[in-house]
Amino acid sequence: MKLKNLLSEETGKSIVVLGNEAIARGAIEGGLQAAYTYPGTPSSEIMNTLSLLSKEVGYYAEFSGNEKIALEGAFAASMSGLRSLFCAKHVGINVAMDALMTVAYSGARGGMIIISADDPAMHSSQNEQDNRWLGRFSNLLVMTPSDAQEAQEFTREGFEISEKFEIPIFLRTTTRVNHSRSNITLESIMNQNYPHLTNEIQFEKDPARFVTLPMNARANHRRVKKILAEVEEWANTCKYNKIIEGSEKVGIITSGVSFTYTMEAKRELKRDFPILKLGIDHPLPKNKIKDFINNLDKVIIIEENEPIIELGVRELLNINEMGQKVLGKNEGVTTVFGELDTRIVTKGIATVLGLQYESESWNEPKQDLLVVRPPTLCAGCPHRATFYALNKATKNKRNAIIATDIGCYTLGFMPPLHIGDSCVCMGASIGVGSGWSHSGLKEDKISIIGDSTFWHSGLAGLASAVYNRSKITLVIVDNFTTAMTGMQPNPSSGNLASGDPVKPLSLEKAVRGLGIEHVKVTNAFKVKETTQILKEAIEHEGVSVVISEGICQIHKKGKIRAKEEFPYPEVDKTGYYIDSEVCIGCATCATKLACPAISWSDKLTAKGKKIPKIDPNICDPCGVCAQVCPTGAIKGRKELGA
Amino acid sequence: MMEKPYEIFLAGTGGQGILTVSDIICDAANNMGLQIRGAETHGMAQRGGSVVAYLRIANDNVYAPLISERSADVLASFEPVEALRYAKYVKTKGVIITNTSKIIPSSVTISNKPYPNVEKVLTEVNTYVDKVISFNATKIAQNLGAAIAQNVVILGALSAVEGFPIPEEELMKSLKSIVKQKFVDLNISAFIEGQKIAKEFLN
Repeated sequence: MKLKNLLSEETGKSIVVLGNEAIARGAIEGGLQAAYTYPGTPSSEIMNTLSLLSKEVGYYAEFSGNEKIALEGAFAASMSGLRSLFCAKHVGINVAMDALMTVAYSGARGGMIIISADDPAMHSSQNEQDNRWLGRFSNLLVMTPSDAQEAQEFTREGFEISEKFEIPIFLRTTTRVNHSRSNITLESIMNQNYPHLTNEIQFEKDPARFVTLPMNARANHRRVKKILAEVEEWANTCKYNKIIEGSEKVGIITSGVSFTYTMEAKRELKRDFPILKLGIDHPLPKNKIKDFINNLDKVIIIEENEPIIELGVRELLNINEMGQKVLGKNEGVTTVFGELDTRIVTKGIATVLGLQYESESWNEPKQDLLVVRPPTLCAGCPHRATFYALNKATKNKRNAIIATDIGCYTLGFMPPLHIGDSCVCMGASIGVGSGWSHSGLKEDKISIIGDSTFWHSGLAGLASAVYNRSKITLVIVDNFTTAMTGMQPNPSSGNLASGDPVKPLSLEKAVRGLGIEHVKVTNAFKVKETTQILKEAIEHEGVSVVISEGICQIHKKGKIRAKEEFPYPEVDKTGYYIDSEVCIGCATCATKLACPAISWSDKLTAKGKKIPKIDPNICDPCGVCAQVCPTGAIKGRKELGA
Repeated sequence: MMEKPYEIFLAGTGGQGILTVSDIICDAANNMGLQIRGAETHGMAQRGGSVVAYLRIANDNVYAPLISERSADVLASFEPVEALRYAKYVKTKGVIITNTSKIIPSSVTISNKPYPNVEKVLTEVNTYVDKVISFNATKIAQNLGAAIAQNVVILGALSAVEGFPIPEEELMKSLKSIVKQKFVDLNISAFIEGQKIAKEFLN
């Protein structure tokens, strides 16, 4: 029902959506013709939504191997005159940077929107980098919507702006916009055609612009700087930078979601500050800012993370000798760390202006009553099985160091599996493992990578490792999907963004194609076999690869619902239970697996040891606990006549 | 000056149906022509982590998606420890509704330490606000036919809180259109039970 809403032609209707759904709707309203991505939180739902609607609307949608490939694809569409969209999380933009820097020089033909979904407070990321910096670095027009409605609007109108100036739009959102929930108003959907369905358009050649040899690149650089000057002129009067009038002599400049907290802080403090809300953080509308500040005694800058607006404003004012007026991070209004909210902004403004601000206090709850609830591997997860086997094979990493990577399997870091001595960025498991092997370390070097991560950036790393004679054991944990971000397709999953089935690529063939001889494929859910295979691979000199296969349980459920086939026979479908007559209370299953289905019962063995129990509602049968039990106390529920 | 939006803080663990409750409230509010701003945890659902949803509702002038400490009108928690974790977000004169049925994370199981005593947890929750409505929503739902409907029992209790901006009829309408058709009757019963319990407590 919700998806149908996103295609509704009822202009003016109000619907409740996730910020990312609003962006998808805005793209469709604006005449999207091609969409590319590699998944990453908080951007994932944009393409999840667009892919589901792609067949019905008609545009091309693709989950590419990695973000660089995705951006190149979106750029190719733009060069061909199509309206294209690329989205990624902030660190995903890092992967695409090589392409991004040069795409910015060449500019856009068909409107092109590059979405960077940043993550202040790193809710699910390894850093909180502020990609607004790319405005200056990459010569980009940076637009910053403050809520779902603006995200929809800026996306919809972004195609036209991009075509007007012939540069891509860098649409920068943050988690609290992407994952916000609010109502939006539907606008009309543009009538569009979809050339990729008929292959009839002629490519308009312009090598001087699109072949970035040094002589062409030099011209492009001048071109883009000229365009940015025009954009800045336009920014001074466009609707995206607006002033909310106020009677006071202290004003506030803000953008993005920080604007929303600023409005609420205004109410909390019962003040009437005029506010300059920027919808464009680069290039800053210098004249508009100058005019705004001219009539004020002081101006406060409210922005999350980096002082980008603040530095721009200070530069501007120093040129005009008005520097003393600006109050920002330099004066401690907000910090560069973490995200903002209404209370933090209210307190910041009150403190720097010396205002009285009373709010109710609170005590932190007693720590011993607060149970830690970290995200963990799901019940039945194949990664748990592989990591248990790896711990057995290395005698708990007695002489092994492990470079892990980014995906659900990163959660193997948590107790009791403790898998991981290094995790940097996508594909780094292999680059680091390889580098370790040339660093004089005595331990066995093991790299862990998932199927999606491998196709993203592991292949190049592995080729480099083989070629440079590194000695690593690579364990590819293949769960046949891109799980952490929501089960998106990848070259191992066997389906496309449109839902069409395709033949998956073979990890084994790809790895053997590099000339690696010691390559073994194992069923992750067979603990003893996998342990033995891992042991042998680690003992092998040179590069060895173990592909540990096991389908993601959530992905499997989706396949069952869709009545599709999936690899590996089921274990006892009815699940497992612990026979308290046989259990000796060794606690292996309860403390060495950390499966969420296993907890303590109130039964005791004859010797007074606690007996665990399995919750049949949580158990997603994998059979691993039954295999690790030393006495055979864990049995299939089929026995109970379940 | 702008009126402050009504703030609802939902908390629990992945898989408990928090986002479904959020969907129902949002749908009803939207049908009534109200403005909604909120934020949600995404991705922790299958992975056992803490899940929260913030909802802020008013006729207009709702901006921020986040709820700050000591600001929410009501906290509805689907798990007792989560109620304690987020109690500080409710204003002193606000209401906390919580399920008393605990969900034990594997981190507790492997540590061999016991899960905290629920009575102690609830006593601590009581230090934050004047009104705490605690009951075993999971058991109630189980008796009605499905433990998983505990989220709608809590929704029913929420609807009884004084000042809650969505009337029962609107919530029912949205509930009926959002839950799976074959479970509509079960969910309606769950809602009514929760509402009854809250009304009894508040009067």
